[in-house]
Amino acid sequence: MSMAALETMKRHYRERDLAAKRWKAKGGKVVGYAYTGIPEELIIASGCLPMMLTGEPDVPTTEGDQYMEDFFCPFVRSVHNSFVAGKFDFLDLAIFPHGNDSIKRCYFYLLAEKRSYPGLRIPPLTAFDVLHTRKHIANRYVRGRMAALKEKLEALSGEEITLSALERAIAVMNENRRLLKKVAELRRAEPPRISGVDALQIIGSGVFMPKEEHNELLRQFLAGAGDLVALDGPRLCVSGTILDNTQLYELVESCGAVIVAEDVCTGNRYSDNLVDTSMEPLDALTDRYHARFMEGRRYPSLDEITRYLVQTAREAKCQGVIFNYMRWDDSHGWNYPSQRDALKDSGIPSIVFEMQEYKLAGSEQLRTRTQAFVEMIEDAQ
Amino acid sequence: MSEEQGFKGERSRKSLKSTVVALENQRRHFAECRDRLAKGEHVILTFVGVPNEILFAMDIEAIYTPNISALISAKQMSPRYLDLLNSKGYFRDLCRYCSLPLAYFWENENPEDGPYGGIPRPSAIIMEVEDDPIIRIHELMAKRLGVPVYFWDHTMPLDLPPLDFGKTPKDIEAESYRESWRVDYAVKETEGLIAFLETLTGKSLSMARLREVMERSNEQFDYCTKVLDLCAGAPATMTMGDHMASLIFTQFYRGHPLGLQQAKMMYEEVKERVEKGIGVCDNEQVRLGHYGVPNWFTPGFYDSFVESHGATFAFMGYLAITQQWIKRDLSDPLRALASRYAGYTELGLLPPWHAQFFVEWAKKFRLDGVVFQRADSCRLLSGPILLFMKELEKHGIPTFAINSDYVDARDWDDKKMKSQLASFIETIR
Repeated sequence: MSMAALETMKRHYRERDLAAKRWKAKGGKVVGYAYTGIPEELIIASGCLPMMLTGEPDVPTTEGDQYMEDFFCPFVRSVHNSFVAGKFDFLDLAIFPHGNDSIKRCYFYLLAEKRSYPGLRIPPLTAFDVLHTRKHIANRYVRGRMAALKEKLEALSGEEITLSALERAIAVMNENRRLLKKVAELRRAEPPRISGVDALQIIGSGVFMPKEEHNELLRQFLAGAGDLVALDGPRLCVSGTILDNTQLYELVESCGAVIVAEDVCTGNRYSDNLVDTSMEPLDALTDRYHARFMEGRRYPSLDEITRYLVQTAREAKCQGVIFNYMRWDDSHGWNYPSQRDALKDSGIPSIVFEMQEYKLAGSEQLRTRTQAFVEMIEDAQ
Repeated sequence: MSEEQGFKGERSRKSLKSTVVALENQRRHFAECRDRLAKGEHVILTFVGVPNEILFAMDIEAIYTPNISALISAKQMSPRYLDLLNSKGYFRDLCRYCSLPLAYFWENENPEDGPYGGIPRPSAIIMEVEDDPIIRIHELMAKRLGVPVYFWDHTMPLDLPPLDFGKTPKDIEAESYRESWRVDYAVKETEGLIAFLETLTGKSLSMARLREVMERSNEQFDYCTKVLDLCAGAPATMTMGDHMASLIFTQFYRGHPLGLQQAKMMYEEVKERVEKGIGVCDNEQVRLGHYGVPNWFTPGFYDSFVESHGATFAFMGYLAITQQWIKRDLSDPLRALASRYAGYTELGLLPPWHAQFFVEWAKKFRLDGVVFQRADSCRLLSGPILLFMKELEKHGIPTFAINSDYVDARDWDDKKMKSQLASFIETIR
């Protein structure tokens, strides 16, 4: 049952619009969102299916390149290409967060392209403006934007998002986070019971399907945890750019290591912080998605981001950290030296892969470097 | 090509006396800032998307990250400082325009080692939260300098302005208030900024002084509009070096007496030159426009085609941007100021829906071609070049993009870049 659940999750990770197509076939509405940091609870409460929008590493960005320069993060260029090519035309709405530069400007570009080139099948767009400082006034502003997003989703669904619907949605999402934390515990176990490759798919599949279904699959998977095979190899943590595919993890784990944790928005960080159910729901969502949201470019955060990574690596008993940065994803590069040095002070070595392409490129060089890193850790044991 | 390998950028050419005065004023201003610091007063490091009019109204001196970067670069010092950052683990592809001052202050304990006798060492930082690197660069700088920092957060637009936006100055002003929740927030940020400065300096803000600064800024920008109108129909009266120097008063002294003085001086001089038929090129054959930020390490590059090709830069964006910031309605000066900055990145910089403006300017200034500057490390200022180029070319206006960092000379191949721009000029001549 555990393996069957895992295989189902892997299928949804591979066939990302599978659940959305089924949902639409039943007359439902699908709301896509670019990047994490969007309150999925609101989308769920509105009766729509939230679906994270990801790119296609193996597909060239030919159509999008007519409009978007190549100095954008390649993940965003790929997402933009999918929009321009009409692959997201089935969405009833697409929400862009005030994330990094590439994400924010992608929204601006799509707005302008939709107007100037009406032949492009770009779905309706909106933004969720989450500010990057943690001031009280910023938090109140985000609270206002949260209410505005609620109204937008009510207009889309044609129905009021009731208090009970919102509370139910929060409960479903919190349960999802709790279950994912149990998955994280199995990764941190000694020895680890889940590979990084499998973990990315377990976590990631949840953003492409109804959360209740994902929760049930997680429960089934966890019920068979006792049968999971113990893994062997140096324990590593990955930190850096969004990872919406398993290419890097496959390469690293093929060198004999196990990725037991990560500081990546589509990894363990996705399940950080439950929504506080003692608060009024919109306040609680604002608290989780603004005040307590860990993200590379926020302030005040350099010390906080550094402590987060060191703590993550220590709790998972990591023996090394791989920093992985996609081209032009500048958010993280300014954090890197401080994080590297803090890890070193904690006795944790690290290696960095910078200016990476979306589709794993130069894999032989990466493999050689990873193997050397893994061997260094093994020799030190 | 690094400093050690001997590339020396070309100095900018200046045809206006007002340009020379502007640069001298800046040197003097730096000296005044150093004096103020020595007396225990405050000098704030800030950025162009922060309501600096508040500082001027409170008689607090300001210096600017991009200004410092441009100066360091113009003095051919950028390779040294960027190499320093890289040696500390900050990757080469990261932002350079905003990070040069970080490197400068990292290395220099003695302020006299640097442009204009040394960049004043700020006593506090006020920074806008605009793009990815700005927060972290200035957080690092604040730690390094041991000074407090206030971050002024920018909100994000939800929807496009209407299609007919920007036809009149009144439209532009009205548009700045359209998404009112953003202006409301900008007011709160500005009040936060005021409280920060009051606590830091012990000074208070007078609303009467703020109104005075806002009125002065409007007058300053009105002169910019007049200069634009004069230049549109005439042979190029300014070099690219003059255009670039206009950055000083349009970006760093909005509403400051120096800003008004420089704008007025430029207007009077340009008016006289236009009336007398004095241009920068006797045989103007190609009128170019430059949209975006130029490179600061070899500013003379742009004017090096005047004699050889009769090619002038008849238009550059720094003066035109000011039209977005005019606020006639000062019934609530704080709200008017906040609205100027709430949409700063959309109204002041290069959002994709500004393509129509670019076409209008190109037609008004009878441009034969438009040159964009693309710096891979700075998406914020490079702008949506492809969308702009498509729109211009749809209207029959040829375009060309120079791929060059704004301040990093290390990868600049002068011969190659001149050959590329010359080829473009030759195709449109």
